[in-house]
Amino acid sequence: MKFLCMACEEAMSFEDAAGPNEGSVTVVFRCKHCGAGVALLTNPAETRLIQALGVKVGGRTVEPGAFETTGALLGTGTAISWTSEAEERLKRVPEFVRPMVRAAIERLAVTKGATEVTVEHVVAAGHSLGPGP
Amino acid sequence: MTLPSKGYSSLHGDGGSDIAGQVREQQARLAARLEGIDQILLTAGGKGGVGKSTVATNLAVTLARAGTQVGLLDADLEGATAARMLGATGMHARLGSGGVLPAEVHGIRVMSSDLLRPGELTPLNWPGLEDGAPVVGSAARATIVREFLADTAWGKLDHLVVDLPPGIDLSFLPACLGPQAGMVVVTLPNTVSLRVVSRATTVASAAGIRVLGLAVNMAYVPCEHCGNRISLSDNGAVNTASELLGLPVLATLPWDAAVAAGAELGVPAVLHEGAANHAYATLASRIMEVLG
Repeated sequence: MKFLCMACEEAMSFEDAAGPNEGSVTVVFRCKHCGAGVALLTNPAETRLIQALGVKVGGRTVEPGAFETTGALLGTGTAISWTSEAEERLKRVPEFVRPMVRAAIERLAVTKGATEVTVEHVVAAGHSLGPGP
Repeated sequence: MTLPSKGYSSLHGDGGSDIAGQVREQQARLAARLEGIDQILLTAGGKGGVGKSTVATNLAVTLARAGTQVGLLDADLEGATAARMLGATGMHARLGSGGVLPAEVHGIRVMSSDLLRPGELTPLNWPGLEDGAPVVGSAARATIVREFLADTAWGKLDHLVVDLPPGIDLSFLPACLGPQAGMVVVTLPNTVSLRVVSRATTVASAAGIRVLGLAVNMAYVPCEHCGNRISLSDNGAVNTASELLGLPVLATLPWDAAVAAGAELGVPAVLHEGAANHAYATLASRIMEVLG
């Protein structure tokens, strides 16, 4: 899909993307000549389709992680091991939110290129998630 | 309404996402992983319940016992059973420096959606069903299988056995598999199953996948006293199908209590001396003959 500025008859360029928010992704394209903009808004099925293809709207700045789309689609999180110290630290998190916090910590570790979750990752995730372990 | 004078092909690029470039990188990543794999053996059957997973697991073990490097990928995402049949329960895939580390059991490197579940009975959070968008499920299936192939740290393999789901749709398989892949079509020895086989082989050939031959499962019961075979097969139907399809019968496989018990216990029957052991040795040998 491409976007054409009707006033300038020139291709519009990707500017920004946000979401998913309530299942919808917002993608903004803008004409570099006249500044006109258009926002593409996806419905939940369209959002899932983009996710299912394993591509990023707006392009990629980092290489995809192993099983990146698989983990996101199947809700399994990433296949990453934990040190025993990290597991112990996670136990400070209330049990009913622990699976969600675990998944968030694993995502953080993977984006940092780690193959194992350490206490440092747990602490760092705690800072980004708010009051945490 | 005034239409623009420029059309889709007049506009260069896609505005910045470079979707085509991302897809090329996906394909390149997959191709790089497949370079380390000599031969891909697909077990397919069209109909469900013919024993594809049983054949895939016992064939993989037989090849491994012959001293080759073997991997097994269970591409039946919702109905994954191959890992359990090999006894890989309780194992979980882990991330290594070269990709996701497969489970290793009986000398086979295994990847299955089973290894990604937090608990053995936990269903996968399958996408698309809640949206009522079947196209999402199809795209998701293709992406997951591609990632299983491309991101698993298979290492150097002589054979990668891929256990396909029931049905004749192969659209979820990456197109680049064609030249490396050979399909073993698992069938029961009856007309009902063989009719679906005919459709499955047509689809495979159209996808550029070489069909190696038929593995006729549950074809006989080995007599536990004298070892003779008590035939369960309609030999006429099997021979007719073989001639019509131009496919050899690679092997006839037994309906053997040891095979069923092995699947339940996670101990493949071919690990023990018996009818199954000999039959699968024949299957493996014939596959290698056909591959040349």
